[in-house]
Parts: sequence; structure tokens; C-alpha cells
Amino acid sequence: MQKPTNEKWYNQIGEQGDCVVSTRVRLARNLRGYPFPNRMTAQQKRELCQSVRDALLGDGSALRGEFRYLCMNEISDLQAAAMVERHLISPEFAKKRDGEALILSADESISIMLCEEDHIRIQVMRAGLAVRDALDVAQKLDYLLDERLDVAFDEQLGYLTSCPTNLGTGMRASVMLHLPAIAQAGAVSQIASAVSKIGLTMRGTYGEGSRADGSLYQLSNQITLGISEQTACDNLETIAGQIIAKEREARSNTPDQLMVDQVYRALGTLRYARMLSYDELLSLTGYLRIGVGMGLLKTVDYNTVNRLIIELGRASMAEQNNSASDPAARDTLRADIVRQALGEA
Amino acid sequence: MKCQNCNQNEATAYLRSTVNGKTTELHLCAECAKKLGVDSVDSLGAFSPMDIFGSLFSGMTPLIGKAASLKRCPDCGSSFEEIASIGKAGCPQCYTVFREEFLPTLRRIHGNAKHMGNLPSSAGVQIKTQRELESLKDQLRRAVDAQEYEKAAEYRDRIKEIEKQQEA
Repeated sequence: MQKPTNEKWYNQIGEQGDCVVSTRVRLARNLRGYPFPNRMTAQQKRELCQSVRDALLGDGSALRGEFRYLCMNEISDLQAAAMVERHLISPEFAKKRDGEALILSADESISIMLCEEDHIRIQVMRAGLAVRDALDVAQKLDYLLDERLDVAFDEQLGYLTSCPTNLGTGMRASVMLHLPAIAQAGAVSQIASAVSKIGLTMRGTYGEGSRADGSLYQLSNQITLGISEQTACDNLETIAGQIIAKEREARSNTPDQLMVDQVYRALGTLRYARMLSYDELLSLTGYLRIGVGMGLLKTVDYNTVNRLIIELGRASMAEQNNSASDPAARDTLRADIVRQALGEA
Repeated sequence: MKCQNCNQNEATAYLRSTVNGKTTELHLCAECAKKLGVDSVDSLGAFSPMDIFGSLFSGMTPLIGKAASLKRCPDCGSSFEEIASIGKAGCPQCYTVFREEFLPTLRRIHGNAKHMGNLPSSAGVQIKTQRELESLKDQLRRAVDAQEYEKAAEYRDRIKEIEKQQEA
């Protein structure tokens, strides 16, 4: 397990930061002797959560100091919405909160949802492209659970999950890609359809429906049965690498002069704007990411960009600041924070 | 004999169906037979519980659907019909009870239906040995292809050893 730190995961330096924001690996596990959460009573949920808590964070556990245990019914709607924004929990998990619980590491890189769609969902986040590293950490936690709890498993079907689409490894690995040049060239749907033929999916994130604000796309494995965790992760990393190469090629096709102009215009707006919506922030910080990759921006790095898009979402801001509950006040405050982060001129 | 669906009324109807060589026999009361659309041969096509099935489970024959709907998971009480309509199993045991019903859909979703990933500590010795054999055979093939005959001989001996143990 990594050394305990309160520094958030997104402040750590990631691989391929010009094109990859983050990597996430999720393992779904269930325990024998309980129905799946959609058929559980609140009492059964509380009982199961407690047994997982005892298994992972009980007396003498090395993880005790590093993790927090949160009962979801003690969490406000706003806190839950902020957790969804930071990808710590799923939107579905935020909605029904009676008996569910969350185990969260101090750096927020590891979250374990209890009684979401499955009894246990281990999720590990990493900055940049780090599929194997994330898998490694998730598997260590899985090993601890396996030692202490009766995990539901079938030799033919693998780890048994509520939804048949997760049977087998119960693993979903995904990388969040920043692909403005591919999006500009209109090639996203072409890539999405190509990867679907080899067991992967690519879809827009942070956007409504297919619209991907800030040109951020999530690439993840689709198939979980009949393929090992390692092979699925290797495939994902290989294909991500090919998409990254395409993106860089497409970026290099844009005349430098034009790209440089766009990067500095974005920086200018971010440094001087007095009100910033989240959508505008996403699209402008995309240019900053390119600028960092081009070596143009000496005072800005990928971590700053990642921190801004993760911490300045609507709910996260409202949770942190009482004054940020109405949209105009929030946009003003967001612009203030961005100006501070980027060095007000 | 009690109806196999509701377990309350006396069974008055008898249904025998053979699908893919597998014969299912059902004893039903008049009410359940009517409810499930098996009260007369003519009605077999008229009522289909598949109508409400989620897209995941589309393409399965109505007869399998009907036979399955009478069976319930002893642990959680789910019928396959209920599982298919929401696209989620009721409990881990459902996969054992409804294995045959699940398999066609799983092959469609995943392309096959054999787990190749990690094993928990509770997994049997047999599957672990089987996995080791498969991996050794794969390594042997690769060693031969690469003309690394010393390595190949090592793998071959190890395979023989395991197979001998299995026979014993």
C-alpha cells in the first residue's frame, strides 16, 4: 500500500499528462449469504457494511489510520453531489442513502462503495496513465477482503456480480483522455466505433449525453468474462497509447502559430476573467494542458490544471463555500480561485 | 399434487416441453397455467413474458422463458423472468440456479463464458491446477516456436508431472 498522505491524488505527477487526466480501476465483489443490494433491507445493508468495516479497518489493521468510514445517511445532499463530481462515488450511490457506506482514503485515491450495485466496489484513481499501478493497489485490497470474507465466486463465471455484464473479473479499468485535436478533426465517433470492436468503449465525460465539454473522453474495457485482469489492462493501455499518438499527430498538424495563439488566449481569459462557468473553465483549461505539453507555460503544470477541473465543479464549490450556492456568486468565486492559481496579472 | 408455480392450488394441468434436448415437466393449477399462457397450445405464442425482458436478454426463446419463470432461486426467491426484466440477478446463488438460462446471454455480452481472471483463495485446487497446466502448455508452445528446446523440455517435464499427479 502506498505511504499515507493527505495530498490529494490529482496533485501527483502523472504519465502522459498532455493527453491523460486520470486512470481508474474498479473491482466489483459480493459476499455469499446476502442478496444483492437491490434486494437488501436497510438492516441487511448496515450489517454487511459493518462486516466489511471490521474486515478492512478492524483492530490491528494497517489501513485504519489511512481510511475513513462514512455512513452515507449521515452525509448531506450537497456533500454527496460533491463526491459524485470528484468521481468518488457514482450518481446512483448518491441518490439512495439508507444503510450504504463509503470507505475513503485520505488522499481520495481509493474509495470503496458498500452496497452500491454490488456489495463492495473498490475504486482506485491515479493521475495520468497508470493502469497497472491502479490495478495493483485494487488487487491488494481485494486480497485483504478475500482473506477475511466469503467472497461469492463461481469457477465458470468468476466473481459473481449483480449485473451479468460485470461477471468474471468484475473489473472495469478506464482512462480519462483529453483529445481536443481529434475532436476538432471530427474523428471521435470513428475511434469510438473502432475500439468497440475490440472490447473497449469510449464516451464523453463531464458532458450531457454525447457532448464532451473540454474534449474529455473515458476509454474503458467492456468485457469482463473470458479475459484476465492483466490482459484487459494491457489492451486498454495499448489502445490508449495509440489514441494518444493520434492525438499528438493531430495536434502537430495545427500550425504552431495558431495553437500558441489559442493557448495564450485561454491563459489570458483565465487570468483576467471575473466570472467563469464550469463549462468555460473546462474548455479553457484544455488549452492550458496543450500549452504545458508544448512547453509554453512555465508557471502552470498539469497538476494545477487537474486540480482546477476537479475542485471547481458546481457541487464541490458549494460544499466548500456557503456563499457559492447561487450560480453568479459561484462563477465569481471560481474566477477568483483560478486567478490566484494562475498568478493574477 | 400442488401447483409448481404457486405451491397452493391443486395442479390440474401438465406441460412437457423439450428445448435443445432438455425436457422440462411442469404441473400447474388452472390459474397459473392461464397466467403463464400455457393453458392451451394455441396460446403459447400469444403471451410472452419476454415482452418485458430487458434488451440484454432479448433473443431467447419464449419457451425457455416460460419454463424458467416457474423456477425460483431458493435463496432470494427471484424468478429468471424478474432477473431478466431488471437485468440484475437477485443474489449470488441465482447464477447457479439459472446457469443454463444465463449462458446464452453471457456468451452474447462477453463473447464467451469462461472465467480467465484471478481466483479467490476459496477456489478449488482442481481449477488452480488446470490453470497452471494451460499456462505451461502455452509456454511450451512458445518455447518450441522460438526453438528454445531446453526450456521446452523443462515445461514438458513439468506438464507430465502434473498430469501424473492428476491421474493418481
